[in-house]
Amino acid sequence: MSTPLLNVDGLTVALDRHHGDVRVADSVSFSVPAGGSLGIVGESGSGKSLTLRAVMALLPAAVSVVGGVVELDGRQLAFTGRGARAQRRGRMAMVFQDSLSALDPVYSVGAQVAETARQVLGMSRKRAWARAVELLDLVGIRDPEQRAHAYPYELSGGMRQRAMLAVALAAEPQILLCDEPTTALDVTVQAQVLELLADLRRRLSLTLVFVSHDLAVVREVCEELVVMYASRVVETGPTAQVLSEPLHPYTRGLLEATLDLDRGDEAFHPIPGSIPEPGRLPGGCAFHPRCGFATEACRGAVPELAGVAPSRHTACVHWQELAVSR
Amino acid sequence: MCSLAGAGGLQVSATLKAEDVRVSFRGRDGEEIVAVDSVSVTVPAGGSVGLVGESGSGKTTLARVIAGIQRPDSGTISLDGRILEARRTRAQHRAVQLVFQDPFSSLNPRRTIRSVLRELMRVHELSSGRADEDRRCAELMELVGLPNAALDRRPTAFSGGQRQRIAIARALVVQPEVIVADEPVSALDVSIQATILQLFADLRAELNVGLLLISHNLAVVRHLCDEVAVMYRGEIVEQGDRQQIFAAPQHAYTRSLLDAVPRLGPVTPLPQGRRGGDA
Repeated sequence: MSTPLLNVDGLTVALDRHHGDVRVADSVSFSVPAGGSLGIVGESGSGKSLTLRAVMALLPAAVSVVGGVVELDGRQLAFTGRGARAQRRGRMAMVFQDSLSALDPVYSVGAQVAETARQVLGMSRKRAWARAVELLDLVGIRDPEQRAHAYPYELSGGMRQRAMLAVALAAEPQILLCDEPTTALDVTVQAQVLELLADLRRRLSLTLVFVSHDLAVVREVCEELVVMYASRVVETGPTAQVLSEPLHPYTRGLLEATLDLDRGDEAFHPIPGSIPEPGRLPGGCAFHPRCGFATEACRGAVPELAGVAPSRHTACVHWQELAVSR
Repeated sequence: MCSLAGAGGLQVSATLKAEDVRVSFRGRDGEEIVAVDSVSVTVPAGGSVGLVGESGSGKTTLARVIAGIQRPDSGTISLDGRILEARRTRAQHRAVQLVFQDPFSSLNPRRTIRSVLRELMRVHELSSGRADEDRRCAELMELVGLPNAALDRRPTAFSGGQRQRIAIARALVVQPEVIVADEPVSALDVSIQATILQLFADLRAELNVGLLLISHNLAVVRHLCDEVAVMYRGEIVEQGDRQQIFAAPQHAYTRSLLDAVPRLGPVTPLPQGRRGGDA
């Protein structure tokens, strides 16, 4: 088997001692082949965003990687220091939910795209500016020569999101990490940005890791899916399979709790209870207090993520009952 | 006494009418920007209307005008024909209550829930003494699905979903005739969203109160509202009952909005008795 382009194995991220030594992502593993797309879904507190930031070596100060490895093309990456940046430069780039705070307010968007091209690819000023205009055009910004001079606040949310994509693409990365890139956008704009992402993937053979709380969005964008709950991965598999035949009660619950225009109201059922806070997880399977399948076994040890079918993994000991009850 | 009636008997609802509302702002270069342009919308007594549209369509501005916290250039808001003045009386404020999107900034962090609810009862003269206030506080907690102990805590002790329940209790304590909810679930996680939507549905079934729900989420509106109004660039471009809007949208904008929503498709339901909390 060929090495995956990105391999994450046992990644564990924790708050530092002063913040309670709490694990916010626990033993997270997944891998993405070159050109593939993987979605990580979960609700707030699931650890999905911090997992992504750890991969990019962009963790906030109070949080650090305490275990596990991230490998790019089989080579292990550092998580801190200049080395960490250098290893990722030109290989991985990230786009964020909030484009207004991710872009620098005092530079024009063209200058920010050009700056990345200069820094990472060593282009001349002139060449980098021309590249910036090309990239703004590529991400679907009209009149790119003119718009390159615009400041972030002068652009609409959708245009800013495109500009941020252009900045990310300026480094010619192989892997694009996306943290809820369309959550703040209107549905019609979201649809355009998702289409753009799909188009860029095809044209630039990008590999995508896409974090979202929105199952329907992930379904459109990602071939593979990782479902996280309370800092752990609870289920993985091909997106279409996981969403049509979930093998973890949380995944099924999340699907039923999502309103969908293709489904009637009778299919809508909230998950009872609430998401536990990191550091106050119930013993055993963290989902058991909210789960209709829970038995004594679920209250004991934390269930391991186990392979149960070709390319399917679940951390539920009762997965067979779910498989049967389809 | 009925748990919802409070001090003064059964809750009443009235038909809310916004007529010919116009709101404009001055743009950066001094030009006039019309945020809401001759908009009329009616929420029947005890009924529910969903106002959908994208950001910048004017839906929040309209909600603020209806709730009396923003003055329109022209147009009227009325309840059963009684005009609500631009500067509202206390009783008029009581009649139309607003629930905001962000449950973190819309609650005073320094006050316990009980003191907030009590003050509202006193200000609106709905209280006949401390014991009565405590009893109604307890009823409200039950109504919005929070434990009684929540009353003596401050908002910081609660999660987003719980805060939204508190915000709803705060709106209900004054026995409003209409609730205007501006994106009440869009800041919440999926599973929490679902429980708050369930709460709105239960409250609607239980209380005789009108609901104007502002949302960009069409599925949320379809779930909670009998009627839908679609706003685009300051105007209502389509209005009708839910069935009609979702099954046979007439306006091109409504159709493009519906087309843009990502879908999940069918889901195999969990078997009987196997949903968490079933038992």
